[in-house]
Amino acid sequence: MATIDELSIRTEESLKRVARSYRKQLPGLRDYLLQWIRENRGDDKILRSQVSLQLVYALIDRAGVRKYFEFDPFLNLATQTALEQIKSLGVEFSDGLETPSLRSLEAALSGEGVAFLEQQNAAKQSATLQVGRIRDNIASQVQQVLLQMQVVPTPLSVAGEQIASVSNLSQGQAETIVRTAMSAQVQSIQNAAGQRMENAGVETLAIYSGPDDSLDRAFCDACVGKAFTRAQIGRLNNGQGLSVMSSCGGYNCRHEWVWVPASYVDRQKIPRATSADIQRANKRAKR
Amino acid sequence: MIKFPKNLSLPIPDILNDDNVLQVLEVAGNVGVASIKQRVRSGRGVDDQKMKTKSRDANSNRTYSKAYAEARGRSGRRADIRDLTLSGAMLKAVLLDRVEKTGTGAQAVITVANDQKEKAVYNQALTPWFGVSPNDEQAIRAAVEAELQRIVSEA
Repeated sequence: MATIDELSIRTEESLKRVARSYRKQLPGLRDYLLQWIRENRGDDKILRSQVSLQLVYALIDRAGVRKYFEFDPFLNLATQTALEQIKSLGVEFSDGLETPSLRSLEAALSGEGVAFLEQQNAAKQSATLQVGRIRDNIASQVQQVLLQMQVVPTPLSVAGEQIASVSNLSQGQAETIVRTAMSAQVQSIQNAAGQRMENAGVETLAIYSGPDDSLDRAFCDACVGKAFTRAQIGRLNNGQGLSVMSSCGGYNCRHEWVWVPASYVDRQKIPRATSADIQRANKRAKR
Repeated sequence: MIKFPKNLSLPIPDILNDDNVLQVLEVAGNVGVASIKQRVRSGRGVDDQKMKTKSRDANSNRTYSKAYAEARGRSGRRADIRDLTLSGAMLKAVLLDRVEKTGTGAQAVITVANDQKEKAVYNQALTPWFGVSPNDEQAIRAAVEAELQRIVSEA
Protein backbone atom coordinates (compact mmCIF):
# COMPACT_ATOMS: atom_id res chain seq x y z
CA MET A 1 0.00 0.00 0.00
CA ALA A 2 1.41 3.39 -0.93
CA THR A 3 2.00 5.84 1.88
CA ILE A 4 1.25 9.53 1.60
CA ASP A 5 4.97 10.27 1.33
CA GLU A 6 5.40 7.77 -1.46
CA LEU A 7 2.43 9.18 -3.29
CA SER A 8 3.78 12.68 -2.86
CA ILE A 9 7.18 11.67 -4.18
CA ARG A 10 5.64 9.92 -7.13
CA THR A 11 3.44 12.89 -7.82
CA GLU A 12 6.36 15.22 -7.57
CA GLU A 13 8.33 13.14 -10.06
CA SER A 14 5.37 13.15 -12.37
CA LEU A 15 5.05 16.90 -11.93
CA LYS A 16 8.62 17.46 -12.92
CA ARG A 17 8.17 15.32 -15.99
CA VAL A 18 4.99 17.09 -17.01
CA ALA A 19 6.53 20.45 -16.34
CA ARG A 20 9.51 19.56 -18.53
CA SER A 21 7.31 18.40 -21.36
CA TYR A 22 4.65 21.03 -21.23
CA ARG A 23 6.43 24.01 -19.78
CA LYS A 24 5.81 26.09 -22.84
CA GLN A 25 2.16 25.19 -22.92
CA LEU A 26 1.62 25.64 -19.19
CA PRO A 27 3.84 28.46 -17.96
CA GLY A 28 4.22 28.62 -14.19
CA LEU A 29 2.62 25.23 -13.63
CA ARG A 30 5.72 23.54 -12.28
CA ASP A 31 6.44 26.08 -9.56
CA TYR A 32 2.82 26.26 -8.60
CA LEU A 33 2.38 22.54 -8.21
CA LEU A 34 5.74 21.88 -6.59
CA GLN A 35 4.93 24.50 -4.04
CA TRP A 36 1.68 22.70 -3.32
CA ILE A 37 3.45 19.38 -2.90
CA ARG A 38 5.97 20.94 -0.52
CA GLU A 39 3.20 22.37 1.58
CA ASN A 40 1.03 19.28 1.70
CA ARG A 41 3.28 16.27 1.64
CA GLY A 42 3.17 14.02 4.66
CA ASP A 43 0.13 15.66 6.20
CA ASP A 44 -3.58 15.22 5.73
CA LYS A 45 -4.11 18.93 5.39
CA ILE A 46 -6.90 18.52 2.91
CA LEU A 47 -9.06 16.90 5.54
CA ARG A 48 -7.91 18.80 8.57
CA SER A 49 -10.93 21.12 8.67
CA GLN A 50 -13.08 18.12 9.45
CA VAL A 51 -10.99 17.35 12.48
CA SER A 52 -11.44 20.79 13.96
CA LEU A 53 -15.21 20.40 13.76
CA GLN A 54 -14.99 18.34 16.92
CA LEU A 55 -14.00 21.53 18.67
CA VAL A 56 -16.91 23.39 17.17
CA TYR A 57 -19.35 20.86 18.57
CA ALA A 58 -17.99 21.44 22.07
CA LEU A 59 -18.15 25.19 21.67
CA ILE A 60 -21.76 24.97 20.58
CA ASP A 61 -22.52 23.05 23.71
CA ARG A 62 -20.86 25.68 25.83
CA ALA A 63 -22.61 28.50 23.98
CA GLY A 64 -25.94 27.10 25.13
CA VAL A 65 -27.38 26.81 21.63
CA ARG A 66 -27.24 23.04 21.46
CA LYS A 67 -31.01 22.82 21.43
CA TYR A 68 -30.93 24.48 18.03
CA PHE A 69 -28.11 22.27 16.98
CA GLU A 70 -28.13 21.03 13.44
CA PHE A 71 -25.20 19.15 12.07
CA ASP A 72 -25.74 20.24 8.52
CA PRO A 73 -24.19 23.71 8.64
CA PHE A 74 -21.02 22.25 10.14
CA LEU A 75 -20.79 19.33 7.84
CA ASN A 76 -21.41 21.67 4.97
CA LEU A 77 -18.77 24.03 6.22
CA ALA A 78 -16.30 21.20 6.58
CA THR A 79 -17.01 19.95 3.11
CA GLN A 80 -16.94 23.43 1.69
CA THR A 81 -13.66 24.18 3.43
CA ALA A 82 -12.11 21.00 2.17
CA LEU A 83 -13.46 21.56 -1.31
CA GLU A 84 -12.27 25.14 -1.30
CA GLN A 85 -8.76 24.07 -0.37
CA ILE A 86 -8.77 21.47 -3.08
CA LYS A 87 -10.38 23.73 -5.64
CA SER A 88 -7.84 26.45 -5.04
CA LEU A 89 -5.20 23.95 -6.09
CA GLY A 90 -6.95 23.37 -9.36
CA VAL A 91 -7.77 19.77 -8.44
CA GLU A 92 -11.12 18.22 -9.21
CA PHE A 93 -12.75 16.62 -6.18
CA SER A 94 -14.97 13.57 -6.32
CA ASP A 95 -14.76 11.62 -3.05
CA GLY A 96 -12.16 10.73 -0.44
CA LEU A 97 -8.66 12.01 -1.03
CA GLU A 98 -7.96 13.29 -4.49
CA THR A 99 -4.29 13.34 -5.33
CA PRO A 100 -3.28 16.11 -7.71
CA SER A 101 -4.70 15.20 -11.07
CA LEU A 102 -1.53 16.22 -12.78
CA ARG A 103 -1.20 12.78 -14.25
CA SER A 104 -4.72 13.18 -15.61
CA LEU A 105 -3.62 16.40 -17.14
CA GLU A 106 -0.64 14.71 -18.66
CA ALA A 107 -2.84 11.88 -19.91
CA ALA A 108 -5.20 14.35 -21.46
CA LEU A 109 -2.41 16.35 -23.05
CA SER A 110 -0.63 13.34 -24.45
CA GLY A 111 -3.81 11.50 -25.45
CA GLU A 112 -3.35 8.50 -23.11
CA GLY A 113 -6.20 6.10 -22.46
CA VAL A 114 -8.39 4.97 -19.60
CA ALA A 115 -5.86 2.57 -18.08
CA PHE A 116 -4.17 5.33 -16.25
CA LEU A 117 -7.39 6.42 -14.58
CA GLU A 118 -7.83 2.93 -13.13
CA GLN A 119 -4.34 3.03 -11.67
CA GLN A 120 -5.03 6.43 -10.27
CA ASN A 121 -8.24 5.26 -8.60
CA ALA A 122 -6.43 2.38 -6.91
CA ALA A 123 -3.79 4.76 -5.59
CA LYS A 124 -6.48 7.10 -4.45
CA GLN A 125 -8.22 4.40 -2.43
CA SER A 126 -4.99 3.45 -0.67
CA ALA A 127 -4.26 7.05 0.10
CA THR A 128 -7.75 7.59 1.45
CA LEU A 129 -7.30 4.72 3.90
CA GLN A 130 -3.96 6.06 4.99
CA VAL A 131 -5.26 9.58 5.48
CA GLY A 132 -8.29 8.23 7.35
CA ARG A 133 -5.97 6.55 9.85
CA ILE A 134 -4.01 9.76 10.40
CA ARG A 135 -7.24 11.71 10.78
CA ASP A 136 -8.60 9.26 13.37
CA ASN A 137 -5.41 9.57 15.34
CA ILE A 138 -5.64 13.35 15.36
CA ALA A 139 -9.34 13.18 16.20
CA SER A 140 -8.63 11.19 19.35
CA GLN A 141 -6.06 13.77 20.40
CA VAL A 142 -8.59 16.51 19.77
CA GLN A 143 -11.12 14.64 21.89
CA GLN A 144 -8.75 14.91 24.84
CA VAL A 145 -8.54 18.66 24.40
CA LEU A 146 -12.33 18.81 24.27
CA LEU A 147 -12.69 16.78 27.41
CA GLN A 148 -10.46 19.26 29.18
CA MET A 149 -12.46 22.16 27.74
CA GLN A 150 -15.66 20.85 29.26
CA VAL A 151 -14.12 21.08 32.71
CA VAL A 152 -12.11 24.27 32.31
CA PRO A 153 -13.72 27.20 30.40
CA THR A 154 -11.31 27.88 27.56
CA PRO A 155 -11.06 31.07 25.48
CA LEU A 156 -11.11 30.72 21.71
CA SER A 157 -7.44 31.67 21.39
CA VAL A 158 -6.35 28.95 23.82
CA ALA A 159 -8.65 26.38 22.22
CA GLY A 160 -7.22 27.38 18.85
CA GLU A 161 -3.68 26.98 20.14
CA GLN A 162 -4.42 23.55 21.56
CA ILE A 163 -6.21 22.35 18.48
CA ALA A 164 -3.45 23.71 16.26
CA SER A 165 -0.83 21.79 18.20
CA VAL A 166 -2.53 18.46 17.50
CA SER A 167 -3.97 19.00 14.04
CA ASN A 168 -1.31 20.68 11.92
CA LEU A 169 -3.57 23.67 11.56
CA SER A 170 -2.04 27.01 12.33
CA GLN A 171 -3.69 28.64 15.33
CA GLY A 172 -5.14 31.35 13.14
CA GLN A 173 -6.66 28.76 10.81
CA ALA A 174 -8.12 26.80 13.73
CA GLU A 175 -9.65 29.95 15.20
CA THR A 176 -11.00 31.06 11.83
CA ILE A 177 -12.71 27.73 11.25
CA VAL A 178 -14.18 27.70 14.74
CA ARG A 179 -15.29 31.33 14.53
CA THR A 180 -16.82 30.94 11.08
CA ALA A 181 -18.63 27.75 12.05
CA MET A 182 -19.94 29.26 15.29
CA SER A 183 -21.15 32.25 13.33
CA ALA A 184 -22.82 29.97 10.77
CA GLN A 185 -24.56 28.13 13.58
CA VAL A 186 -25.98 31.34 15.06
CA GLN A 187 -27.00 32.37 11.55
CA SER A 188 -28.79 29.07 11.02
CA ILE A 189 -30.89 29.81 14.11
CA GLN A 190 -31.84 33.18 12.63
CA ASN A 191 -32.51 31.64 9.23
CA ALA A 192 -34.84 29.15 10.88
CA ALA A 193 -36.71 32.02 12.54
CA GLY A 194 -37.04 33.71 9.15
CA GLN A 195 -38.29 30.47 7.64
CA ARG A 196 -40.94 30.13 10.37
CA MET A 197 -42.23 33.62 9.59
CA GLU A 198 -42.33 32.80 5.89
CA ASN A 199 -44.18 29.56 6.57
CA ALA A 200 -46.74 31.55 8.52
CA GLY A 201 -47.39 33.63 5.41
CA VAL A 202 -45.50 36.75 6.48
CA GLU A 203 -43.67 38.56 3.68
CA THR A 204 -40.13 38.32 4.99
CA LEU A 205 -36.85 39.98 4.05
CA ALA A 206 -33.32 39.65 5.37
CA ILE A 207 -31.24 42.70 6.19
CA TYR A 208 -27.50 42.38 5.54
CA SER A 209 -26.59 43.81 8.90
CA GLY A 210 -23.23 44.64 10.40
CA PRO A 211 -20.50 47.24 10.48
CA ASP A 212 -20.04 49.60 7.57
CA ASP A 213 -16.39 50.61 7.70
CA SER A 214 -13.20 50.45 5.68
CA LEU A 215 -12.49 46.96 6.98
CA ASP A 216 -15.47 45.53 5.10
CA ARG A 217 -14.88 43.23 2.18
CA ALA A 218 -15.93 44.80 -1.11
CA PHE A 219 -18.66 42.16 -1.34
CA CYS A 220 -20.04 43.10 2.09
CA ASP A 221 -19.72 46.79 1.31
CA ALA A 222 -22.07 46.34 -1.64
CA CYS A 223 -24.64 44.50 0.49
CA VAL A 224 -24.52 46.07 3.94
CA GLY A 225 -27.63 47.89 5.10
CA LYS A 226 -29.83 46.52 2.31
CA ALA A 227 -32.79 44.14 2.53
CA PHE A 228 -32.81 41.01 0.37
CA THR A 229 -35.38 38.39 -0.47
CA ARG A 230 -34.45 34.74 -0.04
CA ALA A 231 -34.25 34.36 -3.83
CA GLN A 232 -31.89 37.33 -4.07
CA ILE A 233 -29.61 35.85 -1.41
CA GLY A 234 -29.49 32.68 -3.50
CA ARG A 235 -28.07 34.72 -6.36
CA LEU A 236 -25.25 36.18 -4.26
CA ASN A 237 -21.80 34.60 -4.45
CA ASN A 238 -19.10 35.60 -1.97
CA GLY A 239 -16.44 33.87 -4.06
CA GLN A 240 -15.11 31.90 -1.10
CA GLY A 241 -16.98 28.67 -1.59
CA LEU A 242 -19.01 29.27 1.55
CA SER A 243 -22.77 29.64 1.56
CA VAL A 244 -23.79 33.31 1.62
CA MET A 245 -26.92 32.30 3.52
CA SER A 246 -24.93 30.92 6.45
CA SER A 247 -21.55 32.66 6.22
CA CYS A 248 -22.42 35.99 4.53
CA GLY A 249 -19.16 37.42 3.15
CA GLY A 250 -17.10 34.33 4.00
CA TYR A 251 -14.51 33.43 6.61
CA ASN A 252 -14.48 35.69 9.68
CA CYS A 253 -17.26 37.85 8.20
CA ARG A 254 -18.63 40.30 10.76
CA HIS A 255 -21.99 40.57 9.01
CA GLU A 256 -25.20 38.62 9.39
CA TRP A 257 -28.66 38.19 7.94
CA VAL A 258 -31.37 39.59 10.18
CA TRP A 259 -34.82 38.34 9.19
CA VAL A 260 -37.70 40.78 9.52
CA PRO A 261 -41.18 41.28 8.09
CA ALA A 262 -41.28 43.48 5.00
CA SER A 263 -43.43 45.96 6.95
CA TYR A 264 -40.43 46.63 9.24
CA VAL A 265 -38.17 47.26 6.25
CA ASP A 266 -40.62 49.75 4.78
CA ARG A 267 -41.24 51.48 8.09
CA GLN A 268 -37.52 51.85 8.82
CA LYS A 269 -36.90 52.98 5.22
CA ILE A 270 -34.27 50.30 4.71
CA PRO A 271 -33.36 50.16 0.99
CA ARG A 272 -34.28 46.96 -0.83
CA ALA A 273 -31.52 45.31 -2.84
CA THR A 274 -31.77 45.44 -6.61
CA SER A 275 -30.36 43.21 -9.32
CA ALA A 276 -27.68 45.84 -9.86
CA ASP A 277 -26.64 45.54 -6.18
CA ILE A 278 -26.35 41.79 -6.53
CA GLN A 279 -24.30 42.08 -9.70
CA ARG A 280 -22.04 44.64 -8.08
CA ALA A 281 -21.53 42.46 -4.99
CA ASN A 282 -20.77 39.35 -7.03
CA LYS A 283 -18.38 41.27 -9.23
CA ARG A 284 -16.51 42.61 -6.22
CA ALA A 285 -16.31 39.25 -4.44
CA LYS A 286 -12.74 38.11 -4.00
CA ARG A 287 -12.03 34.87 -5.83
CA MET B 1 -24.63 48.69 38.47
CA ILE B 2 -26.04 46.63 35.61
CA LYS B 3 -29.43 47.82 34.41
CA PHE B 4 -31.73 45.05 33.31
CA PRO B 5 -34.03 45.61 30.36
CA LYS B 6 -37.73 46.05 30.92
CA ASN B 7 -40.37 43.67 29.67
CA LEU B 8 -42.71 44.84 26.99
CA SER B 9 -46.31 43.67 27.48
CA LEU B 10 -48.98 43.67 24.84
CA PRO B 11 -52.62 42.64 25.28
CA ILE B 12 -53.73 39.59 23.29
CA PRO B 13 -56.81 40.37 21.16
CA ASP B 14 -59.69 37.90 21.55
CA ILE B 15 -59.82 37.13 17.86
CA LEU B 16 -56.47 35.29 17.98
CA ASN B 17 -56.22 31.56 18.50
CA ASP B 18 -53.18 29.96 20.13
CA ASP B 19 -51.33 29.44 16.85
CA ASN B 20 -51.94 33.03 15.79
CA VAL B 21 -50.66 34.34 19.12
CA LEU B 22 -47.37 32.49 18.72
CA GLN B 23 -47.16 33.61 15.11
CA VAL B 24 -47.57 37.26 16.12
CA LEU B 25 -45.04 36.81 18.90
CA GLU B 26 -42.57 35.30 16.45
CA VAL B 27 -42.85 38.45 14.35
CA ALA B 28 -42.63 40.69 17.43
CA GLY B 29 -39.58 38.80 18.69
CA ASN B 30 -37.75 38.93 15.38
CA VAL B 31 -38.47 42.62 15.00
CA GLY B 32 -37.21 43.12 18.57
CA VAL B 33 -33.95 41.34 17.73
CA ALA B 34 -33.55 43.31 14.51
CA SER B 35 -34.33 46.59 16.18
CA ILE B 36 -31.81 46.04 18.98
CA LYS B 37 -29.11 45.10 16.48
CA GLN B 38 -29.82 47.98 14.13
CA ARG B 39 -29.90 50.43 17.04
CA VAL B 40 -26.63 49.28 18.58
CA ARG B 41 -24.93 49.17 15.18
CA SER B 42 -25.89 52.80 14.73
CA GLY B 43 -24.26 53.58 18.08
CA ARG B 44 -27.40 54.13 20.16
CA GLY B 45 -28.04 52.65 23.58
CA VAL B 46 -31.14 51.32 25.28
CA ASP B 47 -32.33 54.91 25.84
CA ASP B 48 -32.00 55.63 22.09
CA GLN B 49 -29.25 58.13 22.83
CA LYS B 50 -25.75 58.01 21.38
CA MET B 51 -23.62 55.66 23.50
CA LYS B 52 -20.63 57.36 25.06
CA THR B 53 -17.53 56.19 26.83
CA LYS B 54 -16.94 56.78 30.50
CA SER B 55 -13.26 57.24 29.84
CA ARG B 56 -11.82 60.49 31.17
CA ASP B 57 -9.47 60.56 28.22
CA ALA B 58 -12.13 60.26 25.51
CA ASN B 59 -11.81 60.99 21.79
CA SER B 60 -13.54 64.00 20.24
CA ASN B 61 -16.76 62.04 19.63
CA ARG B 62 -16.72 60.79 23.21
CA THR B 63 -17.25 57.24 21.97
CA TYR B 64 -14.03 55.54 23.09
CA SER B 65 -10.86 56.39 24.94
CA LYS B 66 -8.38 58.22 22.71
CA ALA B 67 -5.95 55.33 22.64
CA TYR B 68 -8.60 52.75 21.76
CA ALA B 69 -10.21 55.05 19.18
CA GLU B 70 -6.83 55.41 17.49
CA ALA B 71 -6.33 51.66 17.51
CA ARG B 72 -9.77 51.16 15.97
CA GLY B 73 -9.00 53.77 13.34
CA ARG B 74 -5.74 52.07 12.46
CA SER B 75 -7.52 48.74 12.01
CA GLY B 76 -10.14 50.30 9.73
CA ARG B 77 -12.98 50.26 12.27
CA ARG B 78 -15.19 53.19 13.04
CA ALA B 79 -14.52 55.26 16.13
CA ASP B 80 -17.09 57.99 15.53
CA ILE B 81 -19.87 55.78 16.90
CA ARG B 82 -19.76 53.32 19.76
CA ASP B 83 -21.20 50.31 17.96
CA LEU B 84 -19.82 47.65 20.32
CA THR B 85 -18.42 45.79 17.32
CA LEU B 86 -14.97 44.32 17.05
CA SER B 87 -15.51 40.84 15.61
CA GLY B 88 -19.29 41.22 15.43
CA ALA B 89 -19.80 38.05 17.48
CA MET B 90 -21.59 39.68 20.43
CA LEU B 91 -24.35 41.30 18.39
CA LYS B 92 -24.69 38.21 16.22
CA ALA B 93 -25.33 36.27 19.42
CA VAL B 94 -28.48 38.28 20.16
CA LEU B 95 -31.20 35.79 19.33
CA LEU B 96 -34.89 35.18 19.64
CA ASP B 97 -34.50 32.35 22.13
CA ARG B 98 -38.07 31.09 22.32
CA VAL B 99 -41.71 31.87 21.75
CA GLU B 100 -43.99 30.08 24.19
CA LYS B 101 -47.33 29.99 25.93
CA THR B 102 -47.31 30.91 29.61
CA GLY B 103 -49.91 30.66 32.37
CA THR B 104 -51.06 34.20 31.76
CA GLY B 105 -50.53 34.57 28.03
CA ALA B 106 -47.47 34.05 25.85
CA GLN B 107 -43.95 35.36 25.70
CA ALA B 108 -41.06 35.86 23.33
CA VAL B 109 -37.64 35.79 24.96
CA ILE B 110 -34.67 37.56 23.39
CA THR B 111 -31.30 36.54 24.75
CA VAL B 112 -27.56 36.51 24.12
CA ALA B 113 -25.97 33.10 23.46
CA ASN B 114 -23.94 31.84 26.43
CA ASP B 115 -20.51 32.19 24.89
CA GLN B 116 -21.03 35.95 24.46
CA LYS B 117 -22.95 36.59 27.68
CA GLU B 118 -19.97 37.61 29.74
CA LYS B 119 -18.95 40.20 27.17
CA ALA B 120 -22.55 41.37 26.81
CA VAL B 121 -22.97 41.87 30.55
CA TYR B 122 -19.67 43.74 30.76
CA ASN B 123 -20.75 46.09 28.00
CA GLN B 124 -24.21 46.44 29.52
CA ALA B 125 -22.55 47.69 32.71
CA LEU B 126 -20.45 50.19 30.78
CA THR B 127 -23.11 51.47 28.38
CA PRO B 128 -26.55 49.84 28.60
CA TRP B 129 -27.42 48.53 25.14
CA PHE B 130 -29.46 45.36 25.59
CA GLY B 131 -33.17 45.82 26.08
CA VAL B 132 -36.21 47.38 24.48
CA SER B 133 -35.67 51.10 23.84
CA PRO B 134 -38.61 53.44 23.16
CA ASN B 135 -37.88 53.21 19.42
CA ASP B 136 -37.59 49.42 19.61
CA GLU B 137 -40.94 49.32 21.35
CA GLN B 138 -42.48 51.48 18.66
CA ALA B 139 -41.09 49.22 15.95
CA ILE B 140 -42.37 46.09 17.71
CA ARG B 141 -45.85 47.58 18.24
CA ALA B 142 -46.01 48.64 14.57
CA ALA B 143 -44.97 45.19 13.39
CA VAL B 144 -47.50 43.51 15.68
CA GLU B 145 -50.22 45.82 14.41
CA ALA B 146 -49.34 45.06 10.80
CA GLU B 147 -49.34 41.34 11.51
CA LEU B 148 -52.69 41.51 13.31
CA GLN B 149 -54.18 43.37 10.36
CA ARG B 150 -52.89 40.72 8.01
CA ILE B 151 -54.32 37.89 10.11
CA VAL B 152 -57.69 39.64 10.41
CA SER B 153 -57.83 40.38 6.68
CA GLU B 154 -57.11 36.74 5.86
CA ALA B 155 -59.60 35.38 8.38
